[in-house]
Amino acid sequence: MWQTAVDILGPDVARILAGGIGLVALVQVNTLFLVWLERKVSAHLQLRIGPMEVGPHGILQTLADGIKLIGKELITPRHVDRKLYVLAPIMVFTGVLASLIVIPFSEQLQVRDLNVGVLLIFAFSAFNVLAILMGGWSANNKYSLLGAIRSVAQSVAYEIPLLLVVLNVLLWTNSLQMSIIVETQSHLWNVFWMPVAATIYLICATAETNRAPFDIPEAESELVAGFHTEYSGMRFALFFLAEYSNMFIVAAVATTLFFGGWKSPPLLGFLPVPGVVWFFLKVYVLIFVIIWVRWTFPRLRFDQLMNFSWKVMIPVSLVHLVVYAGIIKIID
Amino acid sequence: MANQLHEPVIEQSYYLNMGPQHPSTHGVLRLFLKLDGEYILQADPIIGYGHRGHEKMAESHFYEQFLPNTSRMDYLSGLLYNHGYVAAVEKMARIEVPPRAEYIRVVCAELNRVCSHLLWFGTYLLDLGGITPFLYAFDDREHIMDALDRITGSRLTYNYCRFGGVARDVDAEFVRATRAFIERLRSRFDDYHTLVTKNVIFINRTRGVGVIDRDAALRFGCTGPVLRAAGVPYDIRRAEPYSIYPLLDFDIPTGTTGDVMDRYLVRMREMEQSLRIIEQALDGLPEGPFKGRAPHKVRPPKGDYYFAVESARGALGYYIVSDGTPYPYRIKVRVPSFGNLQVLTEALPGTLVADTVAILGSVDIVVPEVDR
Amino acid sequence: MGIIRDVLVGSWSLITGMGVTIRRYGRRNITTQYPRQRLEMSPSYRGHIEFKRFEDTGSHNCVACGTCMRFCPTNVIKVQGEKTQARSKKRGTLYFIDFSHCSLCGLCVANCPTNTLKFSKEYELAHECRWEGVVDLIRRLEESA
Repeated sequence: MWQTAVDILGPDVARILAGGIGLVALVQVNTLFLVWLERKVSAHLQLRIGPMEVGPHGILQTLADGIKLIGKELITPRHVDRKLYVLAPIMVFTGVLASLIVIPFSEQLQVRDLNVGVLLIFAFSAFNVLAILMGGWSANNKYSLLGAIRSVAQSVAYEIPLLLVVLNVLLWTNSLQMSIIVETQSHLWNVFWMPVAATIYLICATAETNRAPFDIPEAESELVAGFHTEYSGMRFALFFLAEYSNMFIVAAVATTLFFGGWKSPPLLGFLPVPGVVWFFLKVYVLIFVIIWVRWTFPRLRFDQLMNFSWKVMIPVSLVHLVVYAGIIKIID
Repeated sequence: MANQLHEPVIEQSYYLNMGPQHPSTHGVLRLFLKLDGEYILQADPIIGYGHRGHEKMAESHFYEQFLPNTSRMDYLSGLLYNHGYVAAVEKMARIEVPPRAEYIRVVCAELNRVCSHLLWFGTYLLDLGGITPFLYAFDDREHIMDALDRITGSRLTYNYCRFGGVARDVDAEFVRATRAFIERLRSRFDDYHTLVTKNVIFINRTRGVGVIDRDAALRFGCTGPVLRAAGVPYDIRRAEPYSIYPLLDFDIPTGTTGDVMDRYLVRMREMEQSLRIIEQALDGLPEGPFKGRAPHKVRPPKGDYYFAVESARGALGYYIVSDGTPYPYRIKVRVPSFGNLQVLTEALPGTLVADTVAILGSVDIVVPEVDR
Repeated sequence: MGIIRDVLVGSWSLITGMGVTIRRYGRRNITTQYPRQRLEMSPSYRGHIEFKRFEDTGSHNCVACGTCMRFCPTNVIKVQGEKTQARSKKRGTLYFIDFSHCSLCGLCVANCPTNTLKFSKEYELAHECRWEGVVDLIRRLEESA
């Protein structure tokens, strides 16, 4: 049956359809799992237990929340800029889907192995910034506007060190293609000889996804809810979905660039575990670290956040780039 | 507020209302801010959203009936408010208090002070964005509230002090639970210092921010940790001693510059000093009756009287005017948060909006006691 | 070089902070999952006010003096009594407390001359209709026999 379907549609269209459906399913299931994981991990860090009622140990809690959000009324306040207001949640979601196309989940599980994979991901992460700005501006609310402005400045400032440390990896692999980057780590993961780069990448990634301690745009105690104050129902659910999917994408890119992608760890290569399982395990360990950092530290003030980026992150990553460029030249 | 419209308007300044419903204004406080971008030009606190008319209620209730009201004015220091009111009436009507009751009152008052400071610690970190220490502080508070629940019967609105003593005696189980709690909290302080005080993000957010210097604090009538962090070692327990405080040995922690970090450190050290006081009081707890004789309906002689105690937020005073009947003519409560709130009109302008929350939280205002 | 030292000291403080939180992970949780598990209240807990049942008479000892009514700050108590004989004490026949306004302050319990009133340990006092808060304590005592 699958063979006839592929014959009718043609191999390219079939691949697009399968990939699209698979990615949307992955985004939904991942969010379902991640929200539950965050609630449980944060609860255990705070000496309590998380959701326990819906499903065994609360696994179906996110499903119940999603159904509730879908059933809510989509309130559009009167003085908003209607086109931008409606477009913002949709736009933040398209960036997510586009970035997931090039991520190598396993040797064969990659929707499209473009030879500009890394560039595509960082280009589409700009959609996130644009959508937040649209959402904050159109809502005609001073709190949302403050949140959106801060978010744009923060994202722009932290993209620079992010790209600078990714350049280190690209200098070593000589290619932007994601599968080749994973292949070059078959003997040694990049994190073992570029630990500073991995740390800087994780810090900048936390800032890009607006997670604490960099969550000024949605600072719950200062600006009520930041740029998504005026959203309700399914639109809020889309922002929520996009935030957790962004976390997944950022962790997946970190795994591919620094932690060896779907390769098994050194010394454990004899285990008969498929590459997909290693990949997801590494991604979720990184996400656990991101959640752990969120629930431990207070928030940075906005000007301190910008100072940290310009005065600490950028000089360190520039020096790092120069030093590692020299090392790579010497090794080759 | 009307004269703001006649002042010259700076280009691009706008008004922002940190309204009565806000996650971090600690109650129904409304801050009317005039902003220029992110900098505050003018800040006006607007109060009255939580006025319940306690002082008016006092005019139609007799002295015993007003006791539950005192706990509810500042629900975080319920026992301290009880103590102040009961001591004021005892001073008026010249009622004797047995020493065991005095010791019990001091132990409960200091436990309440620790409880209030722990809650301040938790909610202050919550305002700054770190959500976890809030849960840790509340875990510690549960032990205090369980111990106080054994003797008073409730966890928040205690209504424990009576004219002439206290309502119920303490038993050995309470003493054991309190001593266990003191040991536990002392070991937790290390964790709090590692997690919060030495944290570089926290230091950057609090050091040098929101300076309320000595001159401003004295002009606005601030008391409590706000004044002590500015360098003035004024504490009612030492300045106008009452109960058994002259017999106890404790220090008054002070700060130097009056910024947010100093207020934070003053409160943390005050918690440690309170633990010392509780230990000394428990060691010296005498035997005897827990309640002296008091008339059935207290009828103080004519005149006006003032009595001050040191609440968790500053100097709490009761001014009672009596006309010889069982019904007071007027009870006025001098609450510490009222003066501490006024100093914000001078401390906030020139800071960023993000610092507003940090400064407001560090002054530790409880709006129900401002509005009464 | 001062800024490098600041960065290193700062990073170390962040790492030790994370160590504090992770040590709490997996410890005994302190949550009581209400309503499947309930806590035990302390013996002097101020719950719903009730009449005490005395062993010698098997019933209450209320003499309808009205002290509780006069001491209540919110005026929620209504008492009525009747005398069985000419020179005997009164005995309470109707005793209503409106629990939707009662603040459980305990002044009635403390001032009752016959010690008839006491606190129980019941804390689930929510009701659906406003008039369900008005409880007849004498009937409640008889029904709990």
